[in-house]
Amino acid sequence: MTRTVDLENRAALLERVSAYVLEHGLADLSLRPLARAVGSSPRVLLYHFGSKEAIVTAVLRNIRAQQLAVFDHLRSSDLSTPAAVCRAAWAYMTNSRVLPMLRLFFETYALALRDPERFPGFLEGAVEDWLRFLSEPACCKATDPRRARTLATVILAGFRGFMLDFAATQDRERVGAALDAWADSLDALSEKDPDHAQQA
Amino acid sequence: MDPTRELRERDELLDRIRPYVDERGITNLTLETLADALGMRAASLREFFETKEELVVALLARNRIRLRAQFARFDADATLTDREFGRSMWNFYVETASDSKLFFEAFGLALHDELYGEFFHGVNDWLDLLADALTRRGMEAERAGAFATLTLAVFRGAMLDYCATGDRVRLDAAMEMWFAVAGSGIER
Repeated sequence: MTRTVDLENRAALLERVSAYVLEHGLADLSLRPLARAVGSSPRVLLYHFGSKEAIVTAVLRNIRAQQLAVFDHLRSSDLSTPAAVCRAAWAYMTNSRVLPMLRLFFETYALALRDPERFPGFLEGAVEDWLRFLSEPACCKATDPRRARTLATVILAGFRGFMLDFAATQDRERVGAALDAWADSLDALSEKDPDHAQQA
Repeated sequence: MDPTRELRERDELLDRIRPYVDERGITNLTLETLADALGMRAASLREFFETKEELVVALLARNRIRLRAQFARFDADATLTDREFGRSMWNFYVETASDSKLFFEAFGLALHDELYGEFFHGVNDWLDLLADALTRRGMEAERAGAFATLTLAVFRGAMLDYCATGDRVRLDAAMEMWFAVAGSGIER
């Protein structure tokens, strides 16, 4: 087998493996049923990836690349207020195509909380990627970097909680209505000092 | 066995199981290894919990009852302002972060494993409690419904962040910022 053919085979296999993992999750992943489902064999999977853990790593890297695409998408949307950012992110993440990724994200997050070494960089990325994005001047008008980071933390907390809720219930109407209330509050936050907002 | 005694024994067993599960999680847990660690026979453990999932659901139910009882105590305390109520709840939530870790782990597993089917039924029964507390604090009913979903989301999202980063200072500051806004939302 030539090297190129080998790499093409691996890439095609990784796509099928990723699709399988998105549907079935990571927790009970085992080689034999995986191989059967993707029309391969444990031997061929191990030849291409090395080990089951290496398969998990490759799948997560593949999926992370797709998740980072959310930031590119958002940067091309209206980012003039935190509310606009939240609405754009909500529209993107509740797309039915994205839902399996959202579920795998929360499953991986939970597994990584127990066993961070198994998923190097995952938790840091899951929080820091977003905090950095949300503190960018494009979506955060706060001038003090510390305040920008606190505000980013608030936005991430609410947004991630909504996503957790949506991943479990898919209740678009209820969560969407709460997101609207949230977006209004956020705009109040980005304009005013919170202590003044409280007294107003 | 007399049912009261069985319930008490089940509860005592859960007390012994809890530290083990808090430390190791449930993903790789089996009833056999757990029974070993507790120094009992797997068959005896199975008299109380037929499956691992049943055991996990029981642990989560207990944690939920504890959190809810604390919520009710703060809620009933007339000396607390809305902001102090939120802050007290957040502090308690952080102090019991290992419960949340278990919750998130079960949540992650339940997303792909129908054996945990029962799990999601309980996920949002906080909503009525929160909406009710917000209404009593002067928020109009429709807005309180949205704010209940929102409040739950902020707490859970902040806890996800805390479990991953342990950055209490940043999260406390964020929650303070949020309580100020939520407070003004009530008064609106």
